[in-house]
Amino acid sequence: MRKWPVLIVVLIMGLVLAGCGNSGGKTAGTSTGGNEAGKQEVIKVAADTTFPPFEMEVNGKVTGFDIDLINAIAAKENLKVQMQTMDFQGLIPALQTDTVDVAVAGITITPQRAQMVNFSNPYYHSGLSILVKKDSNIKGVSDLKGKTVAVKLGTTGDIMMSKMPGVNVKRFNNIDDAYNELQNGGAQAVLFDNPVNQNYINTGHNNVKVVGGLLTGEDYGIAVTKQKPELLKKINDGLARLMASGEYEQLYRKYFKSDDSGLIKK
Amino acid sequence: MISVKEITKHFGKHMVLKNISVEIAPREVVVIIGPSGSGKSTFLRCLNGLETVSSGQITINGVEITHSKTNLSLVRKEVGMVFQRFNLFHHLSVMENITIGPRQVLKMEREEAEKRAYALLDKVGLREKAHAYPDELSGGQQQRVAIARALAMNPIVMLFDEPTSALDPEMVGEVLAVMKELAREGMTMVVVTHEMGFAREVGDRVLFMDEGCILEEGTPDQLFNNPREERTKLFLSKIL
Amino acid sequence: MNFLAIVSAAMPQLLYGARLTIWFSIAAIILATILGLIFALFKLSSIQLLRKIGEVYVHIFRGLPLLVEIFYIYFALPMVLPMHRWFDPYFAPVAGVIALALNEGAYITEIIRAGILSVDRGQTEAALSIGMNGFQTMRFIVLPQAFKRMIPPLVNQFIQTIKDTSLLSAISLSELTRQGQIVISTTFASLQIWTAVAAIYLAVILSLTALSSYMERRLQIDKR
Repeated sequence: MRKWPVLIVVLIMGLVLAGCGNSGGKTAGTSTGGNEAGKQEVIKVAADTTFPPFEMEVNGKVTGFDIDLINAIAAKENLKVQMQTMDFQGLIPALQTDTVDVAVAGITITPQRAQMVNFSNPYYHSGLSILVKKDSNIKGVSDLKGKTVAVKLGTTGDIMMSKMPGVNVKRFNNIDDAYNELQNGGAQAVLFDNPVNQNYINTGHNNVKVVGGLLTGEDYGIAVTKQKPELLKKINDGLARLMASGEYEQLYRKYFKSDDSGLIKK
Repeated sequence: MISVKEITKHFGKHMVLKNISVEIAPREVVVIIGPSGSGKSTFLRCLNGLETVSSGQITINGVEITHSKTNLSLVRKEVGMVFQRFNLFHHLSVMENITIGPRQVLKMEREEAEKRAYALLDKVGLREKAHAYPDELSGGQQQRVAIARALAMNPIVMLFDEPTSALDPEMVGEVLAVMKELAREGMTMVVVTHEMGFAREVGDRVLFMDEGCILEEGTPDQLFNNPREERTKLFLSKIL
Repeated sequence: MNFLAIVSAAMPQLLYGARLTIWFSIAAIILATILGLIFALFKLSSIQLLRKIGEVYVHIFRGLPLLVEIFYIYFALPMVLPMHRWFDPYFAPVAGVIALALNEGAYITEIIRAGILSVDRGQTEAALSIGMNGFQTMRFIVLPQAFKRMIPPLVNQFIQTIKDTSLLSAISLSELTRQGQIVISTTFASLQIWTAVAAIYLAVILSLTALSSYMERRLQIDKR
């Protein structure tokens, strides 16, 4: 009789471990190196999946605009994508150490970042916006003085708020935590990329609104490790081909419908 | 002084004390002997509430200690206990061991408690060890300090649970000497021991316990020289 | 880039974080020790209800990962209670310290309980025999003797608490680990900064270890 609890625990652990094997689909299987038919180069891609609709995890699958884009580029350039997820703040260090080759996460192209990594040509035009509760009397950036603003660590929103005096900045690893902070009353505003703020409103959160319009103009680029300049060429090449063929716009519409604000026009 | 009426005690299914009744008068020195497992230690520990009885009553100086509403710590101020393994407080000095009861329980002032402690240390012959720590003392010295500690509370009765059983033979004498002196001064004492010499010298009554009952009792002379029961004779033959 | 230049530029910020780490640790340790003492005595009580309460506390807070406990108090509770309004603007540090204290307190409960149980029963019997009540017995006889034995596992737990403060970074508290992340998010100097952060943690924890060795040695000489 005494052995039953032990058996049950072992059984449960066995089921858990067996179940883990099935979700390995998102980290694609091992590549065959470079020598097989087609000589496909494998690129390790990292994405921070808490940035809808650019990248997110739905039912265990990594999906989103950025993901579809990098996959499309890879198809055009005969590259094989090996996807993994990572916290945003870890992406650039990972590229610096060549732990990964490419990172997509709605990364804004900035001069400081460009010193550490290479960026592709822009693929989306974005900007920061302020998200507040509907009953807030914050109307613009200057109203943020003296308030608490939740941001995501390491993003351009974080950088902007850190430079602004008189603002109490709360930095979170995930934007969800920042949104929660706004909902719970721990912060009076969230400063983040506008498309994600809009997506948050559109996914059933009716008690918040965007104020102050687009505060900045920012372009997203695909980040590539400086140690592989040839790879950067290929990615820009693939991106250009997608734009020329109209596939870029098709992909854009899939996620952003008729909202043209982010579209890169040639 | 002490009145025990038909007490029983169970440990699970095992009956350790079977219907024991005894009266102990003031100034009486009662010695309890018997084989191990007879319940004599358990009986002694019932007298100050360290063990609870399953049924029956124990009354000490008019207070029924077995009553559920009795505050045992008040009773224990009057009932001193000396243990087989001394149980001195290891983290306190000899002086602190003796004064902590009077100071914390009797709310005595420090000077007065220390004065009385020195007097007691003189009585047990250990004044020079006042500031030593228990683990610096021999077994016999520790037990004498334990006696002083119990006496510091000014008890009306002293209980001794095999006080010399854990001592090396050459130290037994010094402890018995203190106990004999106490008896001569008129302290009511209940002593569980194997030391028959002590019983003969200062005991007023000897109780022979076996298998949870008081099998036989009498004066030391009666019990040691003319035991009536077979089992008493058997036990005595083994140890005398 | 020059290792020393990067590190010394970041040092003021890192040291600010280290100070916060130390404050959080001290607050959590003090609270956890109080909780540990209370629940240890509950678990040793003769009243069954108190024993049960003690058991439940230890089971829950030892049975959950600290990070989950931190998230629960900081993100989940405010959804039902207006925590931010009550504690404004200190809810984050309050929540962090409480989560730490509840978690460490469960382990300290067991340490204290084991320490008390390790004191010979005869000491308690002797204390009772001279008329001390339960409280006096605990205070004058049992706890002082138990305390000495508890020092090594308690110090261990205190060190664990200091390390656990790094998890508070997840609720935006600017302790040492978080400061490291913030500096790296703009300088990208992972190697230099993490080395500096590690060095500071080591300095803090090794100081605590040295202090406890000193305390142990002194207690051997003064007390028995």
